Amino acid sequence: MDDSTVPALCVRVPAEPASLAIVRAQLRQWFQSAGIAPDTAADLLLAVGEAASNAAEHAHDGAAHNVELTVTAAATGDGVRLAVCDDGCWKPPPESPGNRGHGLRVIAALVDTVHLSATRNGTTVEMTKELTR
Amino acid sequence: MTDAQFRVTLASDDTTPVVVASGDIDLANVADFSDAMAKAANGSTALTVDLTEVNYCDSAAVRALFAVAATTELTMIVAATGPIKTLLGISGLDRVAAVVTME
Repeated sequence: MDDSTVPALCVRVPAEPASLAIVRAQLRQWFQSAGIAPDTAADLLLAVGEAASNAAEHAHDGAAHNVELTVTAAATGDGVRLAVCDDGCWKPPPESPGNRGHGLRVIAALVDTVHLSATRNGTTVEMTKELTR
Repeated sequence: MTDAQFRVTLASDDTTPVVVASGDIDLANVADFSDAMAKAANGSTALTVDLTEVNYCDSAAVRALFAVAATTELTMIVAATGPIKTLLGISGLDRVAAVVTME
């Protein structure tokens, strides 16, 4: 990170597939402003993209209202903290060896820590990645 | 909207059909990707999918590729390093299809 004072990013969009490109465009710009190396930025874009894609695909399951997806990115002292939240009431798929449920494994391989919390009021995936200066 | 292009080259007498994808592939346009692969693979036992010009793809594309690999001898061309190579490894797609890397 060249500049840890870069303002945090917060993108709020409807939880639907058409929003995913908007989220990525905002993140690509923010990673550049934050001075994150292109290779690292591509990994982080995929980690956030997997979480956002899960939300866009499932957040409306059983929800009676229009579900929103919120993506935040913030510089920390030694890296970045990323979060993908929705206010739907879906259950993330369990890890499975089949061709579904890859998303969380992909995220875990790309970032240092990943924390998933799913409640009746929504699902949040928080990720952190340390970056060398 | 998610921008991508899928160029389809159909099989001829002695060549394998090819799909060259570029841009971003996600939930919003993965059906177009599947359609392009189905159109290219039509009646052929093998299909090559070139992903070297893809800027972004995720598990949505991986699921589409797994579906093709179940019935077709699939070869993917990808950049030697980067998130797409990582994605293929983690998902296990590289164990059911051939992966050719480009430096």
